[in-house]
Amino acid sequence: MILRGIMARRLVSLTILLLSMLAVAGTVVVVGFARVADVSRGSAGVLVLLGLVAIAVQSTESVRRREPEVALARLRGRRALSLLTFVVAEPVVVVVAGATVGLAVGWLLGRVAVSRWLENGATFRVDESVLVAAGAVTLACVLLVLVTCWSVVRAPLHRQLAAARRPRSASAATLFLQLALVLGAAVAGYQAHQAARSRVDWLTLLSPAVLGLAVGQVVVWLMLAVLVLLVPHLPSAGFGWFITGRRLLRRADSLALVRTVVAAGVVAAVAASAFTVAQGWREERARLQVGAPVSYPVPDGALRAYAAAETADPQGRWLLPAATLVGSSEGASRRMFVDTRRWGSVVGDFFADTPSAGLTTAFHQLSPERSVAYTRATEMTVVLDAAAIGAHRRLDLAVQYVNDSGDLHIIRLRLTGAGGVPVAGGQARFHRSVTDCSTACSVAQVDLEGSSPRHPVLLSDLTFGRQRLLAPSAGLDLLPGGLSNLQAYRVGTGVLIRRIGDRTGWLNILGTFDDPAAQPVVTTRGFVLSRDDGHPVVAGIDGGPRPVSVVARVGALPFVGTRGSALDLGSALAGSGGSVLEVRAAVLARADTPPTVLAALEATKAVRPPTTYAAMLGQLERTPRAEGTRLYLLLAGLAGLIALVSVTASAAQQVRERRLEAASLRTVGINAAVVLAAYRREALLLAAATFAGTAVGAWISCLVLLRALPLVSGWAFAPPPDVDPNPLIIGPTALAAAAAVAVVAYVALRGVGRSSPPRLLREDPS
Amino acid sequence: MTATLRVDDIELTIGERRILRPMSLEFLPGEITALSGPSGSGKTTLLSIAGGLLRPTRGTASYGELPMWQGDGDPRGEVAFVLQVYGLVPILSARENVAIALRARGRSPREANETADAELRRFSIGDLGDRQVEELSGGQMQRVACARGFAVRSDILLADEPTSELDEGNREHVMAQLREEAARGAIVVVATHDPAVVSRANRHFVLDDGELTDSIQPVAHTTTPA
Repeated sequence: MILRGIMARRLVSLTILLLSMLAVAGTVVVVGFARVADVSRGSAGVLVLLGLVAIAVQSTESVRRREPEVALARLRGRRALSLLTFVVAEPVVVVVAGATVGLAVGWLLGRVAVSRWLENGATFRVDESVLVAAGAVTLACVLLVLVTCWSVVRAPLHRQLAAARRPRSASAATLFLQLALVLGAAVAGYQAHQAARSRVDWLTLLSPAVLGLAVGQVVVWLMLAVLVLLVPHLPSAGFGWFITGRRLLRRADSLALVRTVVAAGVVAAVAASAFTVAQGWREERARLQVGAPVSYPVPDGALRAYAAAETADPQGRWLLPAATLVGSSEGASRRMFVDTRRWGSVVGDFFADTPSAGLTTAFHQLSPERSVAYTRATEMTVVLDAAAIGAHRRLDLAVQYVNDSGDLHIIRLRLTGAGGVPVAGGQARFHRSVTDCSTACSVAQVDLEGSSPRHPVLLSDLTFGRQRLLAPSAGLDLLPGGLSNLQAYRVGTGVLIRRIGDRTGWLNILGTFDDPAAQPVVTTRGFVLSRDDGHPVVAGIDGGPRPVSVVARVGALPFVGTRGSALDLGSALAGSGGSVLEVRAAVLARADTPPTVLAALEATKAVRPPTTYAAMLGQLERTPRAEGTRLYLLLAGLAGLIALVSVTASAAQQVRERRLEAASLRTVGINAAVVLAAYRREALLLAAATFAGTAVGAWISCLVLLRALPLVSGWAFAPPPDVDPNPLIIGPTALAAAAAVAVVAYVALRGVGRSSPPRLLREDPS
Repeated sequence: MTATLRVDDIELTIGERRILRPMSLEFLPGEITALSGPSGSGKTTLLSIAGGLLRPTRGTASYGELPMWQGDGDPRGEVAFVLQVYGLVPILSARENVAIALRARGRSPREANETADAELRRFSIGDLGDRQVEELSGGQMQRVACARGFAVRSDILLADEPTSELDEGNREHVMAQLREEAARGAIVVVATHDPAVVSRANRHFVLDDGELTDSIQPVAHTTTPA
C-alpha cells in the first residue's frame, strides 16, 4: 500500500528521498571528516538546514496532493493518531530510505575525500559519532514530515474535499516564521561578526544558510511588492507580460523556489569563498616565507650569499641574495635584507596581489649607489708613509674582516722602528697572510695606534688580496686614536674606505663621499622603529644599530611577515662586523633560472639544496586546518545539489498544471508561442531574481561571516586572510544559481506550449 | 452567417479502439443542435472534431469551405467553446478569463474588461469578477465558462454539458442565452445529458458507443438568423 502510494507520487517521493539523502550524506562526510581533519562538525549544519527547508516544501506538496485521499480516510472514520499514521507512513518510509542511501553515499564520499585530500594516512570511518549525527538528521527529517503532515491533515474537511485546489493565503504562523527567519538572520550575522575566529559556535556555522534563506525571503517579498504595483498595468503590455505577471503573483511555488535556490547559492558561495580565502592565504604565506620561487639556503652567512649570487649571476638577472633575522618574536628586531638592485628582475611580480605587491617600487628607493666590497685573499699588504717616526715609536695596526664563514676575524700588525718603520721619512711595506678568505670576505675595520699630529703616518695603500682598498692616488691619514668603524665601499671599479659616525672633519680622508645621514628602510605598516638619541634605528646585520629613515611602508615583507623592516643587503654588509648567529641567509632564484646559472651557484659551494615555493605550499596544504578547509568545497557542491534537486522537482511538478493552463489559453485563441514565451519570460525573471538575491546574499554573508570562520592558523606574523567578498566567486555562483533556474525551467517547460493542445481539457479536468 | 458546419464521413480510431464510427452531420446557423447519449458515447469527441481540436482518422470537419483542423489542435477563430471541464485559466480572475478571450480576438484591454463585466452580469456573477477562478464553486466556474464562450459572439458555439453544475433557474437562463446565440445566426451545438436542453434544441443527434443511432429534427424551435 505504502509502496503503491510512493510510486503514484514518485516525483515528489523521489525528491524527498534525494533531499534526505543529501542531508544525511553531507552530515556523514562532515562529521567523519572532522574526526581526522581540523574542521568543525557544525559545518554540516548548513546542509541540514537547507535540506530540512527543502524537505518541508516537498513534504507539504506531497501531503497536499493526498488531500482527497486524506478526506476519504476521515470520512471512513480515521481520526487523530490513526489518520496521522496513515498520512506520514509514506513520506517517513521515503525519508528513512533516503537517509539509508545517504549513509552509504556519505561513507563513499568521505572515503574518497579523505583519501584524496588528507595525506596523513588518516582513514574515514563511520564510527559512533557519525551514526549518531546521521540518526539525528534522519530524526529531524522525520519530525519535520510529521509537522508538515499534521498541518495539512488538520485542515477543514470541506477544503480537502474540494474538487479544485484552491489558493491559500499564508497563515499567521507562516508569516511569523518568515519574519523570525529574517530577524534570526540578523542576529546570526551579528553574532558571527562579533565571534572570535578561534571560537566558533553553531549559530555562526549555521549563519550562511540562515542568511541565505532570509535574503531569499526578502527577494520573494520584493518581487511580490513589485508585482502588486505592476500587475494592474500589465494588460496593456501584451499577453506575454500579462500571463507572466499573473502567474508570478498568484503561484507561490514559483517564488518559493527562488528562496531555496538563493539560500543554497549563498551557502555555496560562502563555502567556496571560505575555501578560496584559506587557499589564497596559504599561497600568500608560502610566498612570504620562501621569498621567491626557489630559495637556496646559505649556511655561511649573508656575505657568502651575496658573493655567491654575484659570482653565479654577475648580471643580476636570476639570483638574489637575501638574509633575514626572524628568530625573535619581538617586532623591533625582525628584519630582512635583500640586494634591492636585483629585486625587480629576479622576484618581479611574484608578490603580485599580495600585501607585498608594492615591494618592487618600495625597494627601488633602497637601491644604493654603493655596496659592500668583498674579495678573496691569502695575503694583506700595508704601505705606510711616515714623515718622521722615532726609532722607539710603536705603531699597532689592526685590520678586521669578515671571513668566509661570516665571522669577524682580526689581523694585528705591530710595527716598530726596529721593525722597519722609516725613521725619517720614506715608505714601509708590510705583508701578512690572510686566512679563511678563499671565497668572500670583507674588510670591516682598520685601527691604527701610534700616529700623532707631530708624527703623522699616511696609510698610502692597503691591499687585501687583489683588492686595493684605497684608490691608487688616494691615501688615508692615520691620526692618533686610530680609525675605527671603517666601511669599505665599492665605487665604480674602485674601493673606498669610509669612517662611520665621525663628522668632525679634521681627519683627512681622501676620496671621501657624501654619506646620507641615514640608511633608507622599508617597514611594514604600523611597525614602530627603535630610537637611539631620538633617531630611528634598525639593528644591522651584525646587530649594531644603524640610523635609518623610512621611505615606504607595505602590508607585509618577505620572511618577516606583517612586522619588521627591510634594508638593502649590500649596504648593510658594508662595514658590518659579520652576521649575528641567528641570521638566515639564502640565495633566491627565479623559477626559470637557466641550469648553467644554477650550476654556477652550486659550484660556489655556498648553498644547500633548495626550498621551493611549491614545496612550501605543499607543506602548508598538509596542515590539518588546511585539509579541513577543503571540506568547504564539498559543502558548496552538496548545497548546489540540494538547490538543483529542489529546482528540478519544482519545475517538473509544475509541468502538468502548466500544460492544462496552456491548453486553456489556447482554447480561447492565444497562440502556443505566446504562452511559451510567457513561461520563458517567467523563467528568466525568476533567474534574474535568483541572480540578484544570490549575489547580494552572498556578498552580505561573506562580509559578515568569513571573518568569523576558523580558516587559517599557524603564523603569528602572517597577513590576515583577505576575507573581502570575492566577485570572482560570488558572480559565477550567482550566475550558476540563476542558470540552474533558467535552464531547468526552460527544459521542463520547453514543450509545454506545443504539447498542450486544447484537447487536453477533454481528458483532464482543471 | 450562412455557412454550415459539416462533418463528412468522419471516423476516429485510437489504437484498436474505434471512438467514433463513420458519420456525416451538418450543423446549421440559427439552430441549436443537441448531441446526447450515454457517457462515453462520443459526444465530446464529436464536438472536439467539429471544433477542430481533434483530427479525425478519416473524413473532415469543415466550416464553409475551410477545414476545422488547422494542424496544431488550436480552434479556428470562428469557434468558441464552453467545455465540460470549464477550461478556465486558474491564475486569472473571472473577469480576466472572459476578457482574455476577447483580447485574443483583437479587443482592447479596456473594452475587453467592460464586455467581460457585462457578460458576467449576464450570467448573474457580476460580483465575482475579481475572484480568482479557483476560489469559485463548480456552478460559478461553469457560468464563467459560459460567459467566456458567449462573450466572443463567434459564428460557432460548441458547448459541452453547459448546464451540468447548474440549478434549474440558472439552467433556464443558460438555455435562453443559447437560444439568443442561435437567434443571432450562430451555429450552436450542445452535448448534453439534460432532457430539458434536448427538448429546446432544433435538431437532436443521439450517439451510442461512437455511433450515430438516431437523428431527430424537430422544427418547433427553428430560429430565423438575424
